[in-house]
Amino acid sequence: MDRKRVSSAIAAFIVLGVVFFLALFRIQILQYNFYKQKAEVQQRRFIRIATDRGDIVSSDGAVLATSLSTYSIYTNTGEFKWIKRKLDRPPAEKLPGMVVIEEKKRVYPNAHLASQVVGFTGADNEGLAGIEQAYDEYLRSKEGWIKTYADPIGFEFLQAKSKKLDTEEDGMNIVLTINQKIQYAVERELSAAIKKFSAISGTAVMMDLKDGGILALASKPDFDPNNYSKFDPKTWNSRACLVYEPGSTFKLITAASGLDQGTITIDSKLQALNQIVVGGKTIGNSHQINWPGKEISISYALEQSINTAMAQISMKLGKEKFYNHIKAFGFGEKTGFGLDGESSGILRHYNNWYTPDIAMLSFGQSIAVTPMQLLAAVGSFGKEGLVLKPHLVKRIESRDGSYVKSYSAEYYGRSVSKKTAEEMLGLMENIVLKGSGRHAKIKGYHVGGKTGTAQKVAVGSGAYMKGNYIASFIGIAPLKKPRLVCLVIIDDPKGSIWGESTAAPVFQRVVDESLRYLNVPPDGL
Amino acid sequence: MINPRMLHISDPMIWIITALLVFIGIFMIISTTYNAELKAERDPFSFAKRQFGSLFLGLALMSFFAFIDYGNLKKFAPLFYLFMLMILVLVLFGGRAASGAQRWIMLGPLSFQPSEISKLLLIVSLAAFFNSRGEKTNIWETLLVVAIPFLLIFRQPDLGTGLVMIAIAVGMLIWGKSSPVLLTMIFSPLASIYFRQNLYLWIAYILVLWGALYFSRVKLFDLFLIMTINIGVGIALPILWGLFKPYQQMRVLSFLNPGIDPHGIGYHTLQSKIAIGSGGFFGKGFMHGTQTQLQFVPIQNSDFIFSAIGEELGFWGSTLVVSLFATLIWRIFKIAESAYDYWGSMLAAGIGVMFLFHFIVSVGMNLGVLPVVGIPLPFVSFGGTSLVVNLAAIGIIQSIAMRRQKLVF
Repeated sequence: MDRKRVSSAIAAFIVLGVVFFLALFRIQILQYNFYKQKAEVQQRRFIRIATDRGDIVSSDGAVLATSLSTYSIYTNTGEFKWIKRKLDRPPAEKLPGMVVIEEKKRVYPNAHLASQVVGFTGADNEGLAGIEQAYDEYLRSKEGWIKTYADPIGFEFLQAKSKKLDTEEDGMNIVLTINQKIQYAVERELSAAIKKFSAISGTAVMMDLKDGGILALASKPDFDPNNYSKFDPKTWNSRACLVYEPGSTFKLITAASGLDQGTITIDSKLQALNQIVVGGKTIGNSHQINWPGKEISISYALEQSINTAMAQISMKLGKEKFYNHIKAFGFGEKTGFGLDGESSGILRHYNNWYTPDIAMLSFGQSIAVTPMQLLAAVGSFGKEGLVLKPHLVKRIESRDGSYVKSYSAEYYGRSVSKKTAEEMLGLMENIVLKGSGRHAKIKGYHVGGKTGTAQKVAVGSGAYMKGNYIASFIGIAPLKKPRLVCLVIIDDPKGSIWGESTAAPVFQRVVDESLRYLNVPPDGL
Repeated sequence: MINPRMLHISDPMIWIITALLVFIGIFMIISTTYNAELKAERDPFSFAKRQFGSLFLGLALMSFFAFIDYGNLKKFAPLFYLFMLMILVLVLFGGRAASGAQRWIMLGPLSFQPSEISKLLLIVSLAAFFNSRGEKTNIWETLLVVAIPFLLIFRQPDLGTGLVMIAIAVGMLIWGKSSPVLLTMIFSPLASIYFRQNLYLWIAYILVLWGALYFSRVKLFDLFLIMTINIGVGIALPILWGLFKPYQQMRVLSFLNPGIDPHGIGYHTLQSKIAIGSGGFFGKGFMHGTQTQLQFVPIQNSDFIFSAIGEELGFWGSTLVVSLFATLIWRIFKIAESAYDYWGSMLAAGIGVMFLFHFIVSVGMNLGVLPVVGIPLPFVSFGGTSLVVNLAAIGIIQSIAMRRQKLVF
């Protein structure tokens, strides 16, 4: 055969071989990263799954929120879709196109207990309320996504295999200042009182004066975080974040301001008046006062909760001094105790006050406060005039213990001098011993406190509602060495509207139980 | 018929390369079909098993053709040609359709593709035709021999196999002693049209054509004429193509490539290139090519199997396969060159051209260098008929090789 023909055939092969070799070299070696990236981009899929979360524990070790391993099934054919989520056991049969993954489910073993403090999480275990929401960034694990590879129509490569999350960055545990026993007692008594007085709702907060830790925080009605969607969303958030008109409990603030500013002394006398006219508005008392004479003492004014006496103090103080002192107690600012959605209250600047406002404010009207603000303010009398910052979180710790963040006592500032604080404790004890706070007496302990009965303000119009009241009681115990400050609010009690007969007994029972539980030594008879 | 000593002069390289390619093929078929079958809840090894079954039939046929004297085939060539026309007509009427084309004939539980068989039958027929005409072989007569089966196959439609038939005819004409200049004049404009899809490729083609003609010492007039036709076609084509409306262009393209490219033009090529490119030097490993396992590359067990090799076996694997093919085809042409007679030489050259065209088009389209034409990579791609026919062709090649010299007893 023709030699030339064969040699030209061989030459053609060499050319061809070189062309293919170069094409392969270009694609596989030179453009490797480009094509690798292209492949990765079109193949990978990210699926958001419920992350693991740290536990929420009470200060006495009760688990309030934890996470359990469950199984979820999804399909990724065409479009990603969850089929079933958070099953207790893996599905018996696997249909094609279904993928089973391990997912964490949030559970709340104590159900209703402290539900508004703990809050709840959504389907992807993202915090939606309470501590779960406010401390989400600490609780959640960093890895909330799984990466899988899917074909052009989305059918997964690694099907029918359980996928496990990378657990390197687990969420942190949170230890609350809430004491489960005390919380339980508070919720029990609150529920009982609401039932007894057919009230709309009730709120109670108790703070440890040692460090500002909130031992109990409850509003009723509440909800079960395991089934939160079955409850009225209004029950999801704590009322301790919302404003109300404090009423007579605010008289403590007026008296303390007067004493601290030197406008009055503990021995000052006030005029016995059934009514007083300020800026054209006639201000009377909420009930018929049994006047001992033409003049009354500061103590008697508080014991009998006399509006006209309080107005005399605030008017002596003047707008500016009174306003500044109310500010010093922390009103008008968020306490930052640890839950989202806290209100800063409504305290108008004195330039915007109407003429009667200075008198109204002296007995807790024309002002809106949060229960937490009032608790912190009154609590300062038990702290020699220093305003403690209330807080819910005691400690944040990583599961391996490598990271720990502890919260101790922090102060908002000084409300009154040490002397005034001591005088205030004495006045508060007189109220319990001789005045409207009789129902708050606790055997073995000196107790001081103040009742409050405020007319409810209608939503919208801002006018006072006839026959609807908010009854409350705030108190400190024991007085020799103050340990607890507690506020109880009963919204719209029927039968008896008064704080002394509705809220004070709740205070008495829960503080009594708490003092004994905390082994606080008795300081009285 | 055969003496055991003849085996010694069979081409060992061809045995080894064939075995290696079939071996790689079986593994790549498993890799490209396992997950898809699992997904559809079928036997994940069903494709590999079917290919394995075809392998045994192929090996039997290969042995048969290696051991009989290839000279015997010449006598049956007219019968082969008629048989080929018969099965091609049969498949048009009684064939089983798949992806828009009538391609299979059912024989009880077995099915086969007449178009695959017809390639080898055409080679035998053409070789016998050339042998009978000798030096007087006429291009137009040759074209007539090819035209009938080509049109039948085009009717299925199966453009790939049709092009293979043209390639075989052209290749065998060149290998036979017909006028290369006339051939070039007729067929090079087709190549010009083909390469015009990519401007740079076309320019490269024109330069290579000019170089080839120049060094072949073609008469100046012929060179001028051939170059003018080629360049003229290359310039006119885009203008004519531009006169078509887009939907008409799409219609032409989809007619040429039936039943494929559902994601738009270029999807296949892009996915194939992504697979090969992301394989890198070492590859992602057997069954670990994400592009392959996730079925991003369409029809990857047959037409696009080279992309699976590129992805899972990497640069070394794909260059190995390219080298194996280049060596195999080179050896076949060596045998064609040293064949005992003209008939054997034409037969071997026809088989060589068949493998060469398959190899170029298949690897070329996998690399995105050539447009998508649905033809398999010999020995590697899934397809029973194709494997059996290719192995039979190897048998014929070895039969020619073993009878290169007169045996001295």
